Amino acid sequence: MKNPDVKILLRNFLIELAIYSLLVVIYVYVALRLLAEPLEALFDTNLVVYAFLGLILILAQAVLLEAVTTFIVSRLKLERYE
Amino acid sequence: MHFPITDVTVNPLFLAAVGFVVGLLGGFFGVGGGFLAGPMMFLVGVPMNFVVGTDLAHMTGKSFVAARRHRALGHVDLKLGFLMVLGTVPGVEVGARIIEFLEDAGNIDLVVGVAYIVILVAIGAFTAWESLRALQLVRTEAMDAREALAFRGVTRRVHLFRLPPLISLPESGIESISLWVVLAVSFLTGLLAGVLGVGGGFIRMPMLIYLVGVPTHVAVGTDLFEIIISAGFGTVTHALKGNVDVLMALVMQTGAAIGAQIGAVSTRYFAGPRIRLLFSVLPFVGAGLTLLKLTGWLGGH
Repeated sequence: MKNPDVKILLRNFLIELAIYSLLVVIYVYVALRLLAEPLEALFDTNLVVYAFLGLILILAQAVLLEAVTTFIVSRLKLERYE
Repeated sequence: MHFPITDVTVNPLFLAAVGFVVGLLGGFFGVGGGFLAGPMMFLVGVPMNFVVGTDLAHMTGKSFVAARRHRALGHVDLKLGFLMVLGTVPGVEVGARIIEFLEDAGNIDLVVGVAYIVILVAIGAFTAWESLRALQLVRTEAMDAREALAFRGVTRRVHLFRLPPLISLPESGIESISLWVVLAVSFLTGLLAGVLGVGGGFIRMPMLIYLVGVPTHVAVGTDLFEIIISAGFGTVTHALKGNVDVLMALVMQTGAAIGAQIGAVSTRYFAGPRIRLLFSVLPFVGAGLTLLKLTGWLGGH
């Protein structure tokens, strides 16, 4: 089992979390707000498309957010908690 | 931020924070976290019919991120995961039908709630007892700390059941086990999940360890893999009934995604018994929240 320097890992984690939070706040207020109206329209008109599109959006966002965190870590050359 | 589908206004940072905590727990313990996210969403005014569906939707994305991390760490047994789905889905369906049948008898919510509390307390108490014993064995008998298990009797007996076809699960370190054992365990967890109306991570994770004999880290990762499929299926069925706010799920997922990664990677720094000991607290929290719901404190009956 690894015995990493906890202080460095914690510092790196906090830097990563701070940058990630900033990007996510911008993302929520810009990208997701834009999605609100089309999703509501779809919810009212076609639940089948809404259901499958919703699942695709969830999975696509999961991949996107994972890529963002990986990018932050590699770009800042932060030794990660792994 | 106003969410037009549920017609509620909720601070998105609160939702992201709930997602973060649930993601952290999910990534580390391999549970969906509905026991925590559900009451939190309900408390901020999300209608009850949207709570379950939206929670399942965000759970799908969170489990996807966490399972990918666990897969990279070699903690996901895909073969076992797919086989478990074959038993879980019919189990959930039969469980849901049992509930429909029992609803006619009346006061079913109280009966299910009490059964849920009893099962959770039993799982929590047993896991705590076993993991503490395993940690003691590690200290006194110099056993390998990573996968020390103090309760192998049932696993051995389960493995003695040799009805063909026999399968091997190399990623879980299992040379040979009857396919029927895997299907029976997954059916049972699905049945309990269906009857109790929960995702089943609480039940599946310990069963994979104590009955099938899967190492703790692999049980966590494989459970998450199965949650992707079961929660994804649940998301679509609930969305078709108009019970999912996708926008809200996406906001929750922003926090859950990073929480799930941290939780998943953190398992590398903990041996199996320590993960199980920490896990044993969760069923008690779930039981406490259910008790609050039953007594009306969390919008129950």
